[in-house]
Amino acid sequence: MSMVIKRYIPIVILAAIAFFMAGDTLLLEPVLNDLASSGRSAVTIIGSFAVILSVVMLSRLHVRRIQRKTTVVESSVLLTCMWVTIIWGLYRFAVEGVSPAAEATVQSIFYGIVSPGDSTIYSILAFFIAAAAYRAFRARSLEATLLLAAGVLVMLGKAPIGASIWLPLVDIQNWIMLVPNMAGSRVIIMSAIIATIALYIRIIFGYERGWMGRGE
Amino acid sequence: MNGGGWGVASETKSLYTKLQEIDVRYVYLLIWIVVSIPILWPIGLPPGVISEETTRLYQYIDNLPQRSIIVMIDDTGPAAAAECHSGEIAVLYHCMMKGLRVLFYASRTDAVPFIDDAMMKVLGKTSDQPDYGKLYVNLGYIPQGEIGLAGLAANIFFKSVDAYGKDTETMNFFADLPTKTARDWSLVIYYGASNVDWVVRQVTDPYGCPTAGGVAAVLASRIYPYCWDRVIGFLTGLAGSAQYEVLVKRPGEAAAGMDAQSLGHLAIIIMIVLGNIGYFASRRKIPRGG
Repeated sequence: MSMVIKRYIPIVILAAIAFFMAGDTLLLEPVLNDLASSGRSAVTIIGSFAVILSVVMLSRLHVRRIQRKTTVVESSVLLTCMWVTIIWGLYRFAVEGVSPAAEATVQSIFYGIVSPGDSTIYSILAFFIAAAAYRAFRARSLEATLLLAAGVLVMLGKAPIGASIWLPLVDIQNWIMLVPNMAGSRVIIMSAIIATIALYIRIIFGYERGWMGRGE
Repeated sequence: MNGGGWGVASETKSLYTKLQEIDVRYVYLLIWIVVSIPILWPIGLPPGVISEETTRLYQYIDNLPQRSIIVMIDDTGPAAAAECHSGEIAVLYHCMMKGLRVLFYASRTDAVPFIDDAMMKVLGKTSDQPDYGKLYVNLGYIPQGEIGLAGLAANIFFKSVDAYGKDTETMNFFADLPTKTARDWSLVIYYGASNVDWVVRQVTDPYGCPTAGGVAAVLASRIYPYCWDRVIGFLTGLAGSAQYEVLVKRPGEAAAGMDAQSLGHLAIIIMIVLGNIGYFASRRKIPRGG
């Protein structure tokens, strides 16, 4: 009985939902379409609760780290920032009716701390990309030479200065993106989609059970 | 003796070897200089050629009749916003000038403030703007990415309240929509550093509404496979945003960043060329069979 509950019922539920959603895509049946719409709403609501769950999990993780004195300063800063933002936003919403999207302090925290911090971390990539390109882009073989030439031409063609250096660079760049790149990307996308369909069919018919969390 | 009694050949590196082994800190310094200086003191390099993908998006929006609906999906965190947000502002400005309706929503939590920011920069206000609810609606955050979009495409009232807690069903914006689905939309524009394939899958294929994008430059190569029947045009990173700013005659942050991008690209190419000169020259010096 336990095996039936653990193994077969999840597969039956999944298969039923999969056929149901496929039916919604293929058929114009108002009752079916409305039910599918409700199903999608349910998923987004569950997704919203996942945010709450992630806050709880993150808090637990960092409280544990503080207790074990591993990353006391970092974890304390993270927890303080997160909970001050949450409590202040909720307080303003509950007491004064200000929507979190329009809350001035929360916006200040976002624009003053989150946004510059995230942008800075991302922009550091420019240094690594430059250093990696300098070290690794060597014309050691025919393939590497082709990659190097395409990379340099696209980089120059995409930057505004490329047209000033040599106008046809823009056309060459366009050709690389619209012909070889497009052909290669389409092959990859189509292969990935065929593989995904095959995977979904295996999941729906119960051949693939890794998603049930037992690694089978 | 050096080497604890062992003879150590004192090897002096040739210029070509040195060219291949420049300390990365100098590379970092070079990039820092060529990116920072034009931002602080713009040097006014030529703006370059406006790309086909930018022109197509501009022309498509420009030819839309008044009050057509454009849906803008914000999937930009602060990192990607550096490239995409200026483009969103320029497109919103274009929509405002054309009298188009714009429906915003964010598919990730940290993209929500960027919708407000775009509205503030173009419209001057957000929910208290006089045309809010008639020409502009901000739905705020819709979770679960693709499923959220599928829900919105199937039913425009998928989210019953907007980002400011107002009831969407009473808004004039939606009053004359015949199907209340994505069939009523004229264009959906994705801003972010993910891919547009999920938008094509959920909106363009089932409902026939074309897709466009304002995407991080690194993503551009993954959009070309959908051109030009599914994706009618897109902005490639900061350069695409700058081009759109030029087209709508409203130069902003993206146009200001073009000097830095040009010099940055040039510096990287020079470093690559130097490295390869060193590589080939040092290879030529190695005797055959050696």
